Amino acid sequence: MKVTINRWNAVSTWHWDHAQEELCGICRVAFEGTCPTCKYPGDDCPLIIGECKHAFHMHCLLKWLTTESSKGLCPMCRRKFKTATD
Amino acid sequence: MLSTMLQNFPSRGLPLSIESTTVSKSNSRLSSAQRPKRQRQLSGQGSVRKLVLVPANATLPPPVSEQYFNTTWDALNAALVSIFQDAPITTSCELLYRGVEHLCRADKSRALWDNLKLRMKNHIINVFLEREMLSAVEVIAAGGGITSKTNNMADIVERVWTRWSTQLGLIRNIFFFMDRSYLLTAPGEKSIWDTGLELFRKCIVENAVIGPHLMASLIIYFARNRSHETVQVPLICNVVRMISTLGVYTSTFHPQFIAATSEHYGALANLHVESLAVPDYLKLVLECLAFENEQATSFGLDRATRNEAVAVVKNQLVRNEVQTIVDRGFDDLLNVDDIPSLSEMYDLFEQVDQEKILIAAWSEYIRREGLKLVMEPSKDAIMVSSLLSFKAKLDNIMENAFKHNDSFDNAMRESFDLFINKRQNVPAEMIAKYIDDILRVGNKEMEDDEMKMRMDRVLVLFRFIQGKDVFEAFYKKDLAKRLLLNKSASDDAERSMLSRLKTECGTGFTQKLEGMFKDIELSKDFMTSFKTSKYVTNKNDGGIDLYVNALSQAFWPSYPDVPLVLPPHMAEALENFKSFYLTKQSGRRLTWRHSLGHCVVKADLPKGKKELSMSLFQTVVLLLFNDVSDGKSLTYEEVKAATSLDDRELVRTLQSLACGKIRVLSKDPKGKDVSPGDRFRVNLKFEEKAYRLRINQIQLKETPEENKDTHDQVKRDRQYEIQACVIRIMKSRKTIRHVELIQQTIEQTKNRGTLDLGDIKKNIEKLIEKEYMERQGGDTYVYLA
Repeated sequence: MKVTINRWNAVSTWHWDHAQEELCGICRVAFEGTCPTCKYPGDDCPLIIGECKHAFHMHCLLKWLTTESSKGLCPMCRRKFKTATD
Repeated sequence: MLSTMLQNFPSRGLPLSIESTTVSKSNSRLSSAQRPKRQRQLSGQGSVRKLVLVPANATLPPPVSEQYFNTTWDALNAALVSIFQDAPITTSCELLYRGVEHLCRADKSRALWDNLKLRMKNHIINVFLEREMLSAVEVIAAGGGITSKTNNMADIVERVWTRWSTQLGLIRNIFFFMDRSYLLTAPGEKSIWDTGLELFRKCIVENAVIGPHLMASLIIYFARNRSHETVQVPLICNVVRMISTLGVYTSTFHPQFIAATSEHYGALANLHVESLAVPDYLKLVLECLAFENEQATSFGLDRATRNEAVAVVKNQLVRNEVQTIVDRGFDDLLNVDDIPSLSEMYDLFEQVDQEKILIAAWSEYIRREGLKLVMEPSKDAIMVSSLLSFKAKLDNIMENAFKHNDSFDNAMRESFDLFINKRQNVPAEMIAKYIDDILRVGNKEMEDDEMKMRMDRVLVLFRFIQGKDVFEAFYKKDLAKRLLLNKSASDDAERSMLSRLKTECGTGFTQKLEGMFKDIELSKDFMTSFKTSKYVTNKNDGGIDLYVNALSQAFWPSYPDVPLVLPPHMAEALENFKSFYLTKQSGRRLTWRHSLGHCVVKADLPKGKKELSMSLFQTVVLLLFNDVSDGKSLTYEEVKAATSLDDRELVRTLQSLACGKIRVLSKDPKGKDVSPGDRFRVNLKFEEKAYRLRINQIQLKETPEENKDTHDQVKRDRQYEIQACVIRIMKSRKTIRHVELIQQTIEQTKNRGTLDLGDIKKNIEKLIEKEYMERQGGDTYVYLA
């Protein structure tokens, strides 16, 4: 008997590579999901990672940084939030 | 002519009035000579002369002597005697009339009237009452009741009444002058006709002996008519007309008639309500109603009497028996879809304002029958289709028998709501599967319209479901399979179902489902760019035509990680794709979901070439046999080592290849189950007519584990729902009492799924632990911001 594959339908799921946590620390939604304002995950709703290695939905973090009480700090560790450069 | 007639009366010496009329005529007429003069006066001077008209008979009538009165009365009396005997009158009526006129003019009206009244009264009492009736009463009494058809009081009265009407008519004609002059103005006196009627009424119809007899016999006639004996319709009509002419209809006849009607139908109801089948009983009621209507019309009964009689029938036959009727036959009628009888029943109940009882029975029936369909686990597979036909049946009854009555409609809804949620979760799951059946390819082919109609119908059931989260979970799981395994019958149908769900439950509900569609689309676009990239290996070089759906995990059901060792060329193809993907989508990782992979393979089998649609697991297992020469076998353990599939998947896969309908492999020892130690070889006798074969049904089929997983997932999700809901409530209320919090939580999450009280308490505890809220006093919670 000889069997050869003609066509193959494979299925995969994608994840963000660099997230340590599973949930966004601000909205508590999985990174693979979206921030509360977006509908579709992926490039439309990307992540942002700080030098402190904490990751958030970018939209969530930007919104947080615009509030006065944030004082530009990471909501997780209260260090100055700076986007990781790598 | 006139004068000759008058000359026949000379001996009486009646003074002729002809001269006086002539005189009055000349008096009232203005002479032609005067007329122009008057006109001149009117136009010439301001003063108006009064014009006085003098009545023609202004001249006083000549007084008549006592003797003249007596002789005239004698003549009149002789005529009355003839009339009372129904004999022809010998004297000329004209002269009699004149005589009356003269007496009246001579102011003798009073005496004449008294005489006449006395004669009439005596006649009625002596002749009618004494001679005709009281004797009959004695006969009747002796005979022990009014039974004989001829000796009936109504007959006698009718006969007497007809005579009296004729006689009274003649009398009135003769005494016409008195009727129109004296009686018109005399205080306290009525016309001859009315007086005649009154005398008849007082003496006969209101007679203590005759009256009751008359009514009784009349009632008996109606009773006979009701039992369909022949009765003389004109006779009864006459009596009824007489009664109403005499003005005793409403006071005497009507109440007695209604009482008799009531009694009759009360007895009829007692007789039949327990013994007749309900449809026959309803027919009987309608017949009785028609009969009473008809009877009232043909016997000239009053409209009020007719209406009341009809109401009495409804009361006795329906209103008083509603419970019995409903208990005895409503369910049966519903069972056999007896639309005509149900419709009759509805109409009658509505007319007597007793729909409430019917509605209660209707609800009860739907609940009972519905529970039978829902509560039986062995019938789960056909639950939705039987619910649909049940609903269709009820809709048909609603439309054709209950006239879309809102109260019935509401009762139906409430009952559906109640019974369908008695069984938790399963109906929701079954509805999701039913929809999967509609939308999946390869099932019953159907037209677009039929498909849409089915969707709409099943959505009606869906609306009643409280555990919408269960539905969502199963719908999502099935949709995922349809999309990933290319089993969806049509994209259009999928989208139209989606938009239906969207209108039904809102965007929140369908957001994830829409995300799934978007993933599929994005993957399609992505694949086109992949196909033209350098990463794709040429098919001729042993490459594989690979298609990858790259999904966002958040939208899709979670799939377990199944370890699988792929043959090198397959693994390479995946690696190529992965490299391409990561160049386009940086910062991501790809995880393969092999349990959803499927392949089309070309198999060069001993007895001909075939094209097989298989799951990835099947393919990988089958590929192992490429390296095994014909007739040689692989053991279960060898396959397992080569693929590193876990036992559960491996058993299923080998089973599908060697024990199913289409057996590419053969197993040794033979049997339906696969167990460690079994040996497998290529089935050399494999033969099928078709070239293309599908053997990947196992992928579509839901395993019990999968089912349990889905249910567990729903359960887990519910915990989050509860917490989110509790927090929402706490946030808006700040402080709330325990009971109220529980109530509101249940209320707000009702549509998603029915919650367990214990679960809610557990989650409140968890939230307290996490310091979202705290206890204050015995039974109050405070929100901690």
